[in-house]
Amino acid sequence: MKTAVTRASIALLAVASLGLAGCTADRGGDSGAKLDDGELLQLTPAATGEVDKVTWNSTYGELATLDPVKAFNYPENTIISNLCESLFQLQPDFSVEPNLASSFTVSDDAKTYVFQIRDDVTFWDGTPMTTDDVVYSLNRHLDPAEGSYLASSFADVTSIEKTGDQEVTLTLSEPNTILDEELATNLGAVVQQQQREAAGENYGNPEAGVMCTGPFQVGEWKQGQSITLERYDDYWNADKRAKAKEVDIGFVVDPTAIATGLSTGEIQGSYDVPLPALGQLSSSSTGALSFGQGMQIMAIISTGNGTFGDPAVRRALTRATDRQAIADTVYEGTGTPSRSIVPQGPWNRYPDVAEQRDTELPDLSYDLEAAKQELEAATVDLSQPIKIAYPSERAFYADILNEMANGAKELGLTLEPTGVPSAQFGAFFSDPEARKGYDGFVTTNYLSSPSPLAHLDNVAYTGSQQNYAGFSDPEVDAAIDAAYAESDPDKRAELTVAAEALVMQQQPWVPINDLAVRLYLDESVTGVPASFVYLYYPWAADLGSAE
Amino acid sequence: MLYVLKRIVALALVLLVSSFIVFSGMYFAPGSPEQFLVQGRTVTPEVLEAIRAQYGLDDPFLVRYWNWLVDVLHGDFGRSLLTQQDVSTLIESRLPTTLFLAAYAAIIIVLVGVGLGILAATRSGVFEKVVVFGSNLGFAVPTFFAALVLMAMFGANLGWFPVSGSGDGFADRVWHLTLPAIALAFPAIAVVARITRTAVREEQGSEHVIMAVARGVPKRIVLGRHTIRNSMLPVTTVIGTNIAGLLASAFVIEYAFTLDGIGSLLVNSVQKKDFAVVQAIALIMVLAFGLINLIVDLLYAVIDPRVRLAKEVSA
Repeated sequence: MKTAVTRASIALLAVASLGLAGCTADRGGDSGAKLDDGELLQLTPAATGEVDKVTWNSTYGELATLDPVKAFNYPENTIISNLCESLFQLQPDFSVEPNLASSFTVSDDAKTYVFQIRDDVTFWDGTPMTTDDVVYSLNRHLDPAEGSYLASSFADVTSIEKTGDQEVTLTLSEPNTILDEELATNLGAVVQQQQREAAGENYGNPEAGVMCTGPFQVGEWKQGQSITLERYDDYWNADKRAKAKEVDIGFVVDPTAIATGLSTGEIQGSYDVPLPALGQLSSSSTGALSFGQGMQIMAIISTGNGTFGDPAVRRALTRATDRQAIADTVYEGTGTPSRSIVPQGPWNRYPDVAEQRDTELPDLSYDLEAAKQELEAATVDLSQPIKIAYPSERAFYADILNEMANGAKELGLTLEPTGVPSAQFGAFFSDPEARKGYDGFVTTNYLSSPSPLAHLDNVAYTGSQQNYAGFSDPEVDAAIDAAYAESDPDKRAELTVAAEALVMQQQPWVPINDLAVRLYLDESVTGVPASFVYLYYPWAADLGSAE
Repeated sequence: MLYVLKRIVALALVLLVSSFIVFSGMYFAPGSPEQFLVQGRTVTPEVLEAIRAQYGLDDPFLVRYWNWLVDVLHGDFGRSLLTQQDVSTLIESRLPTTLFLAAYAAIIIVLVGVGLGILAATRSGVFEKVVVFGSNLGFAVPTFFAALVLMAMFGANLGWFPVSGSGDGFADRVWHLTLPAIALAFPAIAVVARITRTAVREEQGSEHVIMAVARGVPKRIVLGRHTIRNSMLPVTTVIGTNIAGLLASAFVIEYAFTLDGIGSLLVNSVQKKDFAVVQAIALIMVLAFGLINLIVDLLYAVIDPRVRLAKEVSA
């Protein structure tokens, strides 16, 4: 029996940091930028030269820590991906490549991994990265005193040992064929042991910082305002040396201030610009919006209670909701109706399973007649109102839920969108008490590793992390276990689709829209990936001059 | 002197009571801090236990309050859950921006508010109508809206001022904080201008001013010594309360303009349930409010000795 290997992906702190209703001006959409289907980018034009300084913005605000084991959200990951490198690295096309590990082998039972560690990597202080540092860094997840937020992903790890000068062996109690993909996240980040121990309880904060091997090192961190990344000139991977000497990342969260900063050139670029800023930025004459392949999804999570707790009701509501209208109006053309709880982006690198997905995944298209038929299978009391919570400061959620309420009305159901303050809403993801009295709540979620399998596991496996409905189905569990044990990537992808189809019959989450990356770049800079890899990949190193 | 002492003791009591209210408020709010820290990740019980022990979350409520109070009296505000930093260090780094912003706004309020009020009172006609209309408008405009308008006009369109950050060095700071300070001062200017105008008008109609004018005292002296000085009592009160209120309303502005002040820190810390930081900032705000009120009361006595006499007598 496999315990839930998990990597949560809560985009929720974003909610908290975007708070304050008063400050957000919701501007009507006169955005000229509409997505052509499937025209999403992976890259922006390569930089032509170096640049002294670039100002960037972190849409979701200030980071709390630089420590990779305590990073799992937009603000932290966006910064740390440029500083601390992992054994593997996610690429802009969502493939995974060796990085600090030069190669690896997996045993047939997928329970023993042997990593070859590079010998030419140095930390920012010039000292070489040793195999001991690697072993130490991975072991931090197993040490409760380190308080790693990612520890549950290592629940099946029984030992991490140095087995040669440049060799580390990791043993598992359960097969896991996607461990390399998971080690491309902060789970596999390597930090210097000596500095970690010297920093004590200040580790990762603005005073002590961190010591890593990435293309940038930490410059000045002006709390409440910005952090500067400084190029590490002796970076081991000469081809990937940073093009910008300094990247200054601000923590502006107010949509109006972001739009103004970007359109005046005060800020030169930003990922995931806020929706209310799209209108102003699409008509900017000094820069351009582009839309990248995403790994983010907007969905409604069932708490397992009430009318919405019945899978038939969820299926019916999905089909009765005009999700294309949501993509067009709420997301101003930057969303697409989701076909599953796994967004399309991460599946793109497995073209062979596209056909299988078409046949096996249920049809979720807008169809009131089909919705009524689905509802006939319902066994719950349909007269009870369905209460769905959303953070009241983010008005676009109300628009989405109102669209859904329209569909519900057609079916004779009552859906009540209920705004709750951000601070209270945050507790929905961690505290069952907070969810009491609600049938569901909204989420903007991302995959924390590039693997669709990991995401399915996370949402639908018995007892796993984001399985908020207490969803449990032996068939689903078995299908997920089977995929974890399959070492052939193509076969594994097929098994994953089979598991996905099973999960989608129940829809523990109602998937609404896949979200494209909304990237804005001033005309003076270019080079960063457009796809959703900025939480995992040193995007700022590719940033350079456009002339 | 006794009066001042009494006021200081009262302030200390207010601080104590508010510290208790703030502490219990955070304590009883939904969601536990360690759950906020891990944000829904399933961490092992050992990790949760380690976090709880580290922050003394398992102690009874009163014990925690007592420990905290004793530490605070020793100048130790604890550590931030979120950034693992010493709270005093954190606040020290944030306080200058807020103080600079509030002081800047206060200067604008006094100069512009009182100035416009006096002008409106002494120069009737179109100018007066404009000021009265403007103050009605200014009073009705919420701070965040003023921020948006200023940002759009002087930031985006004209490009004269930056729209985020608080700058380094004095001149750069002034430049960065001008728009925020104006937005912050906006409602208060309206109130102060209006009260000043009314107060000056009333004094102009008072017997001693009419007598002075009748006696042929030069206009300038009548205005400065009799009219304006005497009308400053209500004006001082309204300026005092408005300046004290600046600290409380600064968070909206700091948030909108991404300033590294304690207001934006407070908002962030409340949302993340960062106990120690919220408690420290709340105390600072109560303290500031109390101090400014104290200063206003003392100013009363300076402006009008009768106030001092009356208070001493009633004391």
